[in-house]
Amino acid sequence: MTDLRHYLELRFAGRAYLMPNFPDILVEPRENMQVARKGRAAAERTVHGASWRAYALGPDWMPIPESAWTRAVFLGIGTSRPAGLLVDDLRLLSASELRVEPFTPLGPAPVPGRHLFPGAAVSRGGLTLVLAADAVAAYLRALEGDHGLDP
Amino acid sequence: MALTRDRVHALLLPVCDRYLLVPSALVAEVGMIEALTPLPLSPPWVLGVMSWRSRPIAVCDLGRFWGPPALIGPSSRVAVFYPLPGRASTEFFAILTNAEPQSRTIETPSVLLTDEDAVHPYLAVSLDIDGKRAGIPDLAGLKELFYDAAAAPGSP
Repeated sequence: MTDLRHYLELRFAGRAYLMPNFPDILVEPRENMQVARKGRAAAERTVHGASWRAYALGPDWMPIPESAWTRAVFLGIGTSRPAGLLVDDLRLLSASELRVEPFTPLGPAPVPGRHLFPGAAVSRGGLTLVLAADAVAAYLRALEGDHGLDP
Repeated sequence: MALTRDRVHALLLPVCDRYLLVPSALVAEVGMIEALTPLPLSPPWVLGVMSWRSRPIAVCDLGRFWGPPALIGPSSRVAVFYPLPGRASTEFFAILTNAEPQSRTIETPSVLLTDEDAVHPYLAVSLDIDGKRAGIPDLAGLKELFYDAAAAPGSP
């Protein structure tokens, strides 16, 4: 049976990550973004008067002021506070091209109740972590101190 | 004080400045360390993730709890552990060792409990095995350390 699911391969901070391509993700090119620091965000987009902030992350997933990002990937666009991840590059991959295995990161979850990397795609070329979109959105929102988390 | 008079097939894992004594039955495999993928936002004792038998497994440096961070070199190995009791069947994990572990059959006269490090983190018991400083890991403590009770297991 053909697997019709897709993953987005996101590249930033020198690494690739995979994210299931859910319908509540919106990708915006850099030219549609306002590139200006706001809090810990490196860019934002104003949608119906609301600020959607987007974050450039370093290898340690801490926010950085600027990067070679070309697109913003907004997560949770059906919620009241979408949050964006700035990526250098992205492409769509069919799930049938990947072998994704469950994974439980060791140690405390970075956001309450959810790990950010609940799986990984394993191939001869190496290992690519799979992101949990809702947990990543919660992490990005927490960078501004939402949800009772420290920035 | 002596242990009970059982014979146990065990592995001595060289970690930091001591050995971890673990029953061989807990260890699925000992091997070379493969390429590690960093795991962002994880504690410093998590070295990263590696592929083992086409599974992602976390590799940890338990020696950080007893000394300086490990240096990965040509003699480094990983001991891949079966999932801890009560955890999902996919939750293998690996502990970095300084060198190839040693296989031992442990018997009562060769093992003495010591008072040293009695409260050492993540060691249930400290031992002297043929003059080697060793400890038996506290698996319940490691389980608490490893797994966030509030977080769901991996399900991509």
